[in-house]
Amino acid sequence: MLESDQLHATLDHVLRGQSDAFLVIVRAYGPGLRTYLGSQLFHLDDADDLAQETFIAAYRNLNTFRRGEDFGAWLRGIARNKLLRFFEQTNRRVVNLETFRREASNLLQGELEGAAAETKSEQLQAMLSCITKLPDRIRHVVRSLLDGSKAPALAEELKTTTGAVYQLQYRALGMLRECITRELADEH
Amino acid sequence: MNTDLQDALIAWQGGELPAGRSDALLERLKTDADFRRELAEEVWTLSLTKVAQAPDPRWLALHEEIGLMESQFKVMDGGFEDSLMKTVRREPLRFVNAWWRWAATAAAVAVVMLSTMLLVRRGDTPITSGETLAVLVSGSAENASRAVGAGPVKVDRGQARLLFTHGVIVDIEGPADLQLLSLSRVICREGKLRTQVPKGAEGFCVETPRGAVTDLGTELGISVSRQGQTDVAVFEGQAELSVQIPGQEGMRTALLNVNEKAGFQSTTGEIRTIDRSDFLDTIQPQAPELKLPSDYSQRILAAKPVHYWRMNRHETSMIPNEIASAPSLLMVGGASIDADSYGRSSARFLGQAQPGVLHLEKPWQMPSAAHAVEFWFMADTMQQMSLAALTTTDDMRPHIALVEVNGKRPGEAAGAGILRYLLRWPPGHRDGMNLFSPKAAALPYQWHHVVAQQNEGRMQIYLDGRAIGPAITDAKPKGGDCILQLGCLEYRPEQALDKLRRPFSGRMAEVAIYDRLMTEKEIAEHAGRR
Repeated sequence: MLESDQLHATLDHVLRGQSDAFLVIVRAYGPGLRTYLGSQLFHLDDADDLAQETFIAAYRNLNTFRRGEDFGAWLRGIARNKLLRFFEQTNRRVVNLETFRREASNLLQGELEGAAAETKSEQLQAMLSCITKLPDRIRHVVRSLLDGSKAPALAEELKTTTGAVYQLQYRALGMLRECITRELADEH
Repeated sequence: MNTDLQDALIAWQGGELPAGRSDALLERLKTDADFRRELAEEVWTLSLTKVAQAPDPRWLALHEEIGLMESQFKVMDGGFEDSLMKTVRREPLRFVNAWWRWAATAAAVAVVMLSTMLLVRRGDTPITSGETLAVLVSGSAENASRAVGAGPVKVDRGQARLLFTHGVIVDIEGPADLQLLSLSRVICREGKLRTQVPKGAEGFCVETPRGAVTDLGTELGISVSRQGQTDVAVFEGQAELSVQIPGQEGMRTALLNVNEKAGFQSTTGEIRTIDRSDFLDTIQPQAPELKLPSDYSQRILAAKPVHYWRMNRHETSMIPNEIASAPSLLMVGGASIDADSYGRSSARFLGQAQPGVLHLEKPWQMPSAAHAVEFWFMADTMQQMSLAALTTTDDMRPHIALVEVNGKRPGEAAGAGILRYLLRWPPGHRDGMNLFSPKAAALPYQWHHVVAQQNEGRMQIYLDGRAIGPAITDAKPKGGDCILQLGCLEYRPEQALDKLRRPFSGRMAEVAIYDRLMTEKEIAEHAGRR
């Protein structure tokens, strides 16, 4: 995210016609927006597409942003509308495995918005470093599930149960949060 | 882990649950705020994990919308970056001390001079705005490193190295025409590159005309001709090649394994095995010379330090103290004394490749009031590294004071070139009072003079003779036996060397400790400032 002065200077440049300055905004707010959308969509590709649409809409309507308000929240407001429209358009072909996420993400809106507001860009950098510090077996589970492996297949590969695979993932998420907190506190 | 949370997380990821279970979980989510908060925390971490590991998206429609497609980002060369510099000239940063404005001016002048040394074409000089993505180091000229943000990097001839803040290294041989987009994306229109991508930075992507080479955690050679021919060799690991087929939406991809080579031609979209062997070797940027006056050691001795190690010689594994009867420093692991290419000896540290440390053979009785630590250092990586630490003699070596480079300042994404001075009392492994330099103040491949000092909890750090701080802490060090260690976060003699944390990579020289505060005048003199 940008400091207030930096954001206003950048907005001024864009509004004066220096469109390339908008990339500064994309770089600063892109990771947080992708995380916000990625938390509610099954495929990251869909999240990226919506993030791009959000930035395009923001670019076209930049003059409607009221200075002094939270720019990240403004972007997420646009993104939320895009998300709802996406859900409407794809509801008919949504497969069972996505149903729970769609309904639950509706219920978690307030909490996810709160998490987004508190997320800083350096958390992504810290996350990368923290993933490499996970024990091998746990890291393998995290990466495999993110890569689309099914938990039962992973359980078979690791000679364990599906429940144990999910428990390893849950443990990993807790370890990652602790590690990020440590890294950002800049302590050892 | 409670069963509902586990099941909700399984359902969230599309896992199978018994009939009716999903509905029950949704009902609980409607009524139980704590449950919503817990699930949101898990879901957010999952998403953060996913995004952190994914490559940056290629948002072509957005680029087209803002007019960057046709000109291939050329609009950035002189537009926004120049304007920002004009803005900076008009409105100096409010929170920056006056001397940093002068430093910024001096740095801008230095950038122009260094660009000439690097043979960067006039008018294409990249100017950092916002985040520093990397440091550009000349392959041959001395003292030629500078921070670069998103923007063009051109090398007409000779070699250069880009050290990205997250550990990726890109060696470059000119003529080369690059555009830095982010930490994970670079456009290369022409040039020979060699990329080294460490664990955690997989997915680093070099975009070339109509194609892309994605480094999947490897060492690659990439050659891009002015005519659009891209050749790739995998020296370690794997890489993915992708090329747009002219006249259609299709994109051909190919996975290359170790020792495989292939090339693609932008005009045909074909990927073919190749036989060429003239890929760029890893380059070794030349470290600059530490230029000190011939009477430097006399000046230090005249300042009456309690310890002074010149680091210019050693006896077996001991570095002698220039102060009579004061203890030596012990060399451990990869730390050594050797001569650089200019013939000057200094302490050399090899970082993660061969961790090493220098530490006091006997404790020093730190005074209760003031102390100062002075040294010269030159880093050769962008990793967070510990330079000097004062710890107690306790087995766990809790810190009293610590000086680090490239550490993150809270609230910022990367710590490129940031110097940190930390004071902890009572001694410990957490908390404390910090002072941070501005970004890019202590870049690699440059010698820097450092003085870190405190008096009754009033801390100040001087970088190259210029003051940062003060910071004042109520937790004043009370003195007592302590150990000086150089080159890692904490060293315990029984510890395996490969477990050393934040090992320093670079050189260090002329280390002195004082039982008093140094004056601004003597600091400026020692740093070579008038």
